Amino acid sequence: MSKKEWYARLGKVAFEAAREMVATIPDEADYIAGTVALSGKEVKEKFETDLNFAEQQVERIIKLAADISKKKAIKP
Amino acid sequence: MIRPSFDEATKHSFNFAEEIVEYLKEGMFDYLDLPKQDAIKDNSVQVMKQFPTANIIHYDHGSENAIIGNDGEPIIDLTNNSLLKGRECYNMNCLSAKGLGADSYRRYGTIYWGSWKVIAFTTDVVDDFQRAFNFGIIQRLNDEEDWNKILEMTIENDDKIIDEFMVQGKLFAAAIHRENRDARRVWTGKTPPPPKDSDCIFRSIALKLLGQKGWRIPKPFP
Repeated sequence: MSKKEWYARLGKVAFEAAREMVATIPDEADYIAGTVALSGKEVKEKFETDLNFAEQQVERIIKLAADISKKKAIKP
Repeated sequence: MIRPSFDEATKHSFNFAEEIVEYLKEGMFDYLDLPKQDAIKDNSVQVMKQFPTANIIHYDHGSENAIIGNDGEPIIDLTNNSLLKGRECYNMNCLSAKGLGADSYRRYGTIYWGSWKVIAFTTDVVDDFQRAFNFGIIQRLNDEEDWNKILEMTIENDDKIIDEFMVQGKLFAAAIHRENRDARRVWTGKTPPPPKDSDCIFRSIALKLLGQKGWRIPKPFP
């Protein structure tokens, strides 16, 4: 398997995890980040169409998972 | 208390700040509230000059080098942050800890609480985000004077809120607030901003001789 295929498969897994995370904001709620305001519905649409935004969400879910693992490791 | 309200984000941050105003009222603190159209540079600067020892609370928006008023213009930036000398500044705004806060601490010894990055929240759990954003200043108003201790307590509170979001299945809110938590900064004697060099030859000499304390030497020219 080439490196490209390797990254594509890993990326697909990360993307699906991020999609599940993004799905947890209700459509009617708002996401506010600085001066940006999007509805939950718009967040989900943006995730599917804006690569930079999707990348940000992938990073978020990976870091959240790492955070949780660290906490579980620390707690007895 | 400087609290603009001119867009979607500041509509919420204005409401977050309402809790703090109530706290100030009930605690019988001396305070001045500059809400909405009053939260502009002229008014804010006038108040700061009139009350040189007053501490500042600002609720949204910010940029790396400024805190922003209701007209979208900077209230305090790198041209007038000498006004922050000797004060404690609590900020619920994006990024200002990075430039403005760091510079204000280096040059003027300002205790500066803020964020290193963009702050985000979601409105499905807006009450919990309010709890998170207001926690630090409430500890200060409850007579905790050590800002580093307040930061420790705030991060513990942030972790609890993140855990609550996880239990509720609010992964997006949890992920966002993890970022908010990690972006918190407080510039104090114990946790100063990262060292910075200067382009000015005189400042560079001062920094070489005195370390970062070289920033405290006043500019010879305005």
